[in-house]
Amino acid sequence: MKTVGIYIETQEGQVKKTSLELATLARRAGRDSIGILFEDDAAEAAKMLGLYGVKRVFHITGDAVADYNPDVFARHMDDVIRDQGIEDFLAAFSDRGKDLMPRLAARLKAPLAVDCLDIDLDSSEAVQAIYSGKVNARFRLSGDVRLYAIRPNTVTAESGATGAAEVITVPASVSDTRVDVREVVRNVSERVDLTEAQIVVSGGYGMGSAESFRILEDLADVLDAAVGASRRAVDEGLAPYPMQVGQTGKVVNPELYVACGISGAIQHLAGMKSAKTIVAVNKDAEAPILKKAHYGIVGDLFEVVPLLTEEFRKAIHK
Amino acid sequence: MDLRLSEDQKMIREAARDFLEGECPSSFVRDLEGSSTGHDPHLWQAMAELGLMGVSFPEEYGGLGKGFLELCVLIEEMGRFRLTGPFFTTVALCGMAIIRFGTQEQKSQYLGPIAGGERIMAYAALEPGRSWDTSSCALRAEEDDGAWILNGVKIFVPYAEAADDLLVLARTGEGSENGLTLFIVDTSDPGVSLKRLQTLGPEHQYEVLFEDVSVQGNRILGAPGRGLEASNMVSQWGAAAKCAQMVGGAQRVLEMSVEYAKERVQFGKPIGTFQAVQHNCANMAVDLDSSRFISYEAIWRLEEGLEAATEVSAAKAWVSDACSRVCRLGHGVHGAIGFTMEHDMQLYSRHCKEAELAFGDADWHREQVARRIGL
Amino acid sequence: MKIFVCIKQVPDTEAKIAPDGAGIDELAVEKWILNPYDEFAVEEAVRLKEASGDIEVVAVSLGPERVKGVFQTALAMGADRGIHIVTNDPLDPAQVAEALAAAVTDDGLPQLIFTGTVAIDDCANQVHLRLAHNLGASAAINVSSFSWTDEGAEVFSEAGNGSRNRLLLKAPAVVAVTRGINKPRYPTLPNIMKAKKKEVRRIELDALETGSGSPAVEITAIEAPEEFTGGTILEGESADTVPELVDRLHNEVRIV
Repeated sequence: MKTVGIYIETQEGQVKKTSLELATLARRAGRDSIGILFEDDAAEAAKMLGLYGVKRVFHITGDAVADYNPDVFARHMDDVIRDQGIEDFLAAFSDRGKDLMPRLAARLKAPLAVDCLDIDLDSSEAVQAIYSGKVNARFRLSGDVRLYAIRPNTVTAESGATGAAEVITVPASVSDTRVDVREVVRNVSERVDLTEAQIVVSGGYGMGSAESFRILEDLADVLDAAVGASRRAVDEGLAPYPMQVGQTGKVVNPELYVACGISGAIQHLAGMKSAKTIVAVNKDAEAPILKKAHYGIVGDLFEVVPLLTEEFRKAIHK
Repeated sequence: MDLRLSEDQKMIREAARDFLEGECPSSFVRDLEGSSTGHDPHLWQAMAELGLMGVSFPEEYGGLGKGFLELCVLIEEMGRFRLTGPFFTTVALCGMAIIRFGTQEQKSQYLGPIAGGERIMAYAALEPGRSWDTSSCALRAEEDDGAWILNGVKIFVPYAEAADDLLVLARTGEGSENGLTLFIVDTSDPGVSLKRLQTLGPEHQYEVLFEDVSVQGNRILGAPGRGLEASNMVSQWGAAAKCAQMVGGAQRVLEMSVEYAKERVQFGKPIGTFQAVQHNCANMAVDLDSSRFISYEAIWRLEEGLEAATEVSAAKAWVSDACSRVCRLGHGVHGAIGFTMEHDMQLYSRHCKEAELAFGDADWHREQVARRIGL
Repeated sequence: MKIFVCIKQVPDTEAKIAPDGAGIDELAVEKWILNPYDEFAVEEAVRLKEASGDIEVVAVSLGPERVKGVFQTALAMGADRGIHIVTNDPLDPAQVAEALAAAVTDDGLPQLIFTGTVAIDDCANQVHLRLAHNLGASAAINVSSFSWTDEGAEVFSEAGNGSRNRLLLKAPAVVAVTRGINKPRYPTLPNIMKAKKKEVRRIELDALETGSGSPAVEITAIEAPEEFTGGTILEGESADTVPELVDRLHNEVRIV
C-alpha cells in the first residue's frame, strides 16, 4: 500500500496532538506513514510517533532550518516527497499547514484539499465545509501527488503501535530565499490554541465588559480549555481579535463548546458548529444559539458560569 | 413608465445602507437619544466625508449635484436604521431652502460648510398654540436701522442646541402674501434661549425664545416679505421627506416581523403559520408598498418642479396612517418581547409617531386634499 | 509603481446557499459582495498609494459577467483600473492562480500584489501562494501589518495562538492580508460616481493561453449538512440546572 507522508508539528519539543491525529488517520486507512520533522532533536518525537504508527521520520536539521521559514521548509519537504515517491501527503489545517501546504502544492503541481472534515485516501476524496459551513463540498483529487490539510480534532488520536520510528537525518541545505524571517514574536500562553482545543469556553456581547471574561478564564482553567469570543464582543472591545471565533475569526472544532452570552449569529456558528457538544448559556430564551445547542441554560451567565466552574471542579476531582 | 430606482440611485442607497449598517447599530442610536444634544460629531464628520450632506447640493458648493429624490432615498435609509440627528433639518429643510431661495452670497456662505459637515442648521417655524399652517406666524421682526429685531417664540425646533444657525420664519408685515420673511439667526446671538422639550419621540426638540434678537439684513433668506413661498416649499419638502423616512422605518418593521414570525414558536408551531399573523403581515406589506409609491410620486413631482401640493398632502395623510398601522401590527406580531424597551420595535414606533406629527398630521393633510379636490 | 489587488466576488454572508448538483444555486443568491478579506487588501493598496503618490492600483478578478459588480467597489475605494478575466468555467485553485499569473504578467509584472488571505465562499486558502510560485514572487499569508521599504515588503504574519513572525519579502511580493490590518473605508458618494468612468479591461480566459486541462480538484457533490434538530433546554434555578448539566456532560456525554 502506498506510504503516506505527514508534516509533523511540534511545540516546545513535543509532537503536537494534531500530528498524532494524522498518524492515526493513516494507520486506520491501513497505510504506512513517514513523518517529516523540523526540530533540533528527534529522539523524543520518534518515540512518540512510533506509538502512533509512524515507521520512519525524516529529521531535517541544520542551521538553515533552525528557525521557521516557509519557503525553506517547503523546499525540504518537496525533496523528501519526491525522493520517497510519496503520493499522499497530510498536514493539519493549522497556521503552519496553511502557510506550507499551498507552497508545497505549487512546487509539486499537486492538488490540495483544505480544512478536511473527512478524507478517503483510497478514492482520493475529501469533504470540506464551505460557505460559512452552510454546505459541505465533496472533492476528488486527481494527479500523481495529492495533498490534504485536515481540520484539527476530526480524528481522535489513538496510539496502538509499538517501537520508536526510525530516524533518518537529512542535513538542511542552504539556498536563496525570497522570504527573510526577521523576528519571531512568540506569545506565551498557558492555554491551548483555540483551533486545536478539546474544550472551548466563549463569551459574547452579554459578558458586558472585558473584565467579566475573568469568570470564563476561571471555568477554562478548571476544564483546561481555550477561551474564545464572538465578533460582537471583539468589535465592542471586550476581547482581542485573536480570540474571535467565527466566519472572520477562527474555526474551532472542540469536543465541547460553551457559549456564554452569545446570541448565535450565523457568522459565529460558522466558526463552531462542528463542535461535538454545544452548551449555551443565555438570559434570552429566544436567542438563536439555543436552537443550535445540545444543551441550553436560560439564565444569568454571571450566576451560571461560576456555578459551572464549581460543579466541574467537584466532578473532576471526584 | 419605469418605477425602479436608477443605477445611480441604487448605488446611493447601497452606499448609505452599508455605512449605516456598520455605524448605526441599535446601541448607538439609543445612546444618541440619551445624549445631551442628540448629535454625534464623529458620525456627522463620517457622514460628511462620505458626501451624504451634499447629495442634493450643486457640485460648485461641494455637492454631488443630484436632487431631492436622491436625498429622499438617503433619508429613507436613515429611517430604516432609525437614525435621528440634525441631518433632516439641516439638509432637507435649511439646505434645500438656501439652494432655492438663498442669495449667491448665502449659498457660498452656507452650502459648502453644510456639505463639509462644518455647519448645522435647524428650521424654526412652528409656534405654540398655532396651526400646522406656518403662515399663521406671530413672531415679529421689526426693522431698526438696517438690522431686524426678532421677538417671539418657536416650538418643536429639532436639534436647536446642536445647531449653529436657525432658519426662522418671522412676521415682517401684515398678511401672508408679503408679510413673512425667513431669517438666518446664529444660535449664539444674544437674546436666543433654548428649552429642551420632553417629547415621546426620539428626536431632541426645543422651544426657542427670541428676545430682541438683532439680525443683519444680509441674513434674510432671499428678500424681505418673500417668506410665504419659501416656507410653503419647506413644508412640502419636509412632509414628503418625512414620508420617505417613515417608509424606511416601516420596511424594516415588516422585515423584523416576518423574521420573528418564522422563528417564534407558540402552541408547537411558528406563529407565522397562523392565518391571522399571515394576514397582518400581508396587510403590512400592502401598507408599505402603497406608502412607498404615494411618497415617491410626491417626491418626484417636487423634484421635477411640478405642482405637488395635493400629492404631498395625500402622501402625508396616507403614509402617516399606514406606517402607524405597520408599527401597531409590528408590535402585535412581536408580542410580549416587542413591548420591552430593549427590543427595537419601540424605536421604530416612536420615530414613526414623531414623523406622523411633523409638517401636519394626517387629519390636517386630509383637509388640504379635500380643499384641493374642490370641497 | 504598479500594485495589483486580486479580488473575488462572493455571496453575501446572509445569503441562502442551496446545493445544486456540483455547485450552488446562484439564482438564489440575492446579494454578491466583495470578499471581506479582499476589502482589507484594496484598502491597504489604496493607503499605500495615498501615502506614496506615484502608484497605480489595478484590481484583477476572474469569473462570469456578474463579477463586474465587484470592480465597482474596488474602484470606488480608490483602485485606478481593473482587469476582468471572463470565464464561466469552474476552475480549481491551481487554474485560478495560473490565469491570474498570466493576466498579471500580460499587463506587466508589478512590485507588489495584495489579496485577502482567504475567500469566504470556498475557503480554499491557496490561490495567493500558488500565484506567488507561478510569478517567482515571495509571499506571506495572514498578514496583519504591512509597510513598504527600500528592501521590499515588511510584514507581520500571524503564526497562531497570538504569535507572529516579522518577515521581509523581496519584490515582487504577494501579500495576503487578514482582518485587523486596517479598517476599510466606506467609498464616498463622489468616488462611487467617479468609479463608473474608470476602465475595466475584459480578457477572455481562452485568450490567456494558460493551457490547463480539467481541474485537478473536482467537486463531486455539494450537500447540505445535517440539520440540527434541537437539544435540551434546562430551565429553572441555576442551583438546580447547573449541577444537572454538569452531571449530564460528565456521565452521559463523558466529556469532562
